[in-house]
Amino acid sequence: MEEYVGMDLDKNAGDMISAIIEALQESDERVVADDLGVFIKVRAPGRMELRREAVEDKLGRVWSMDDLQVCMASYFGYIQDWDEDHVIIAWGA
Amino acid sequence: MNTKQKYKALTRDLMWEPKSVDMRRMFPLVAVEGIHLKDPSRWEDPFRMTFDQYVRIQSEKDHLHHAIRSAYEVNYGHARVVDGRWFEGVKAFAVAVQPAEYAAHRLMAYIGRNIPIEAIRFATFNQAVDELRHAQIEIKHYADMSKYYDGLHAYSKTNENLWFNTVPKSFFDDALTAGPFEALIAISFSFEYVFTNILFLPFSSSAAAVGDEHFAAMGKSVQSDESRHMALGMAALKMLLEEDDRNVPIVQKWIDKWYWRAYRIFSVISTLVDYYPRIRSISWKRAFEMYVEEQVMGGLFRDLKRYGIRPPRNFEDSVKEKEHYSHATMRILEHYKHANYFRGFTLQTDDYEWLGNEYPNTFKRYYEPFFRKMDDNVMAVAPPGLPAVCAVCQIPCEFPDPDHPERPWTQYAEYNDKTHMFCSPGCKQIFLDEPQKYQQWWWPAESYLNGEFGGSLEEMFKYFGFAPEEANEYYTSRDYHRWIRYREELGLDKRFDPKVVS
Ligand SMILES: [Fe+2]
Ligand SMILES: [Fe+2]
Ligand SMILES: [Zn+2]
Repeated sequence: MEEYVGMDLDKNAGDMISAIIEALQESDERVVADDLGVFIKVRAPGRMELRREAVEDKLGRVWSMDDLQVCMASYFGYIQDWDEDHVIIAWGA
Repeated sequence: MNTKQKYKALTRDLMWEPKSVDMRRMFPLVAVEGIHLKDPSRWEDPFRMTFDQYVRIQSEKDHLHHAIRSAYEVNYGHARVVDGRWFEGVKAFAVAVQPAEYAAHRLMAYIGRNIPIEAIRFATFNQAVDELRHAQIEIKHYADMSKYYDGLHAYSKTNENLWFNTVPKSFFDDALTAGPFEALIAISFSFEYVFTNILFLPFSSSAAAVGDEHFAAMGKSVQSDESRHMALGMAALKMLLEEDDRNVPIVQKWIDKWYWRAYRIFSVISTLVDYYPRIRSISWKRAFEMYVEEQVMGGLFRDLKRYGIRPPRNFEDSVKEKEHYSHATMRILEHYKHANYFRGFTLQTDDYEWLGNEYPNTFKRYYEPFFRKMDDNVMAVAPPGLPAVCAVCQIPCEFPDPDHPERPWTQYAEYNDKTHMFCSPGCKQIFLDEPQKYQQWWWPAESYLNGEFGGSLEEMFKYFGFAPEEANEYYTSRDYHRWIRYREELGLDKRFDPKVVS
């Protein structure tokens, strides 16, 4: 069984959070989102990739990966790559 | 420049090889812990944070936070929470967490000073500034509370002198007197990665549920830095394990020790999750399962197996304790509520109901009778003086053995002709691994008897920075009556109705 990776997102960030979740789910249908009060927990087995362009598509405006730092309250897994285009969280390697 | 180039340009090559001083004299602590490093320069902060970016992101967080804070303050947010006892929990938080933030700032500076790896130095520099910010925005909340309620008017004094503050102090002093790599595993890994989630995520949700918008915003603002702190812990851990096989047993020893140390300091937090909020977002048990058992043990420690790392030594004990932890700790806080500046409180009907439902195996059987007796004032409420505390975690030795909840878990060990007492097997093992260090522990009750706190009970309270009226039970306190009056002024209902709120 593959272990989950994921992040806790601050609901205050509003449409940004829904865009992030939609972007994640579009690239991987195994991504689930649970409402935990002021946070939403998104998780997926083994690996999760967030692409800036996918979030911009959903938002309909430019978006910077820096904004993820303001709304990502926590994460689990290793951050394997973080740059202006994408973030990958995964176990292993 | 893209993110990767910018990170390289702005955080690398900031160090140089000293020509006139020996490197080992400049960084005397790098070698003392037995850690072997081959090429640590390949290590990177996973966030690839640069200074300009750091300043921009952090100022955005501060603006957001202070906007919510000002609105809360001008609208008398304190009077609008669903039950004023919440603030007793915030006071407990003030004892347990704010000193930890400030100490973490010093600790990060210590680590950065003593580990000559640029990426670590830059990440610890950022975190040192973060932790100061946390300490400050938390104090801002107490400053507003202090205009209306007891307990916080001599905050720095209380923070310095209150007997209960030895719990967080001993933890951070322990880390600060360890070598820099141990300190890094202690704080960045055990405290930040394994446990901070439980601190700020459920507690911010509860704050929002009870209506303390300021505290919720503060918790979320703090937590937004935690991802970076967690990343530092994870990256440091992986770096140590990958640099040299000889590091593995050393790191395992630190994980064993600091898991239990961090877990024990979270006992107070368990009451902030299960008891103080009148409306809870989640139980300690469920939060522990989700953040520690599933995410950390199920996820991370399965992954760490390939390095030869196993789960922390006393992990099973913490699992066994999850259905007892908050109740046993609340019982301790109730026992000593006459000597703490955060009050205990009489449980209400809906509290009994919630606790009974969330803890069907333990609450009714082992703890409800105690709280009922407290309600009826059948029991002598205040045991005389200050308690016997654990020689390692400094929490009163009143935890039950989770295998036999009617028996105490208290352990003893002889060292240097002295008997030392511990709250649990976990703390006892920590002591026995480094007895020379822990035999120096400070016992508040002993100091009280030696006159360190003054000659009388009055002087003791003066030394603590608050008056006896500021302690004890909440619903019979002057703070409760004040809260009711503030609500009357604002034309709000006096009492909490669980049905209306949920
Ligand atoms: Fe902090
Ligand atoms: Fe932190
Ligand atoms: Zn202990």
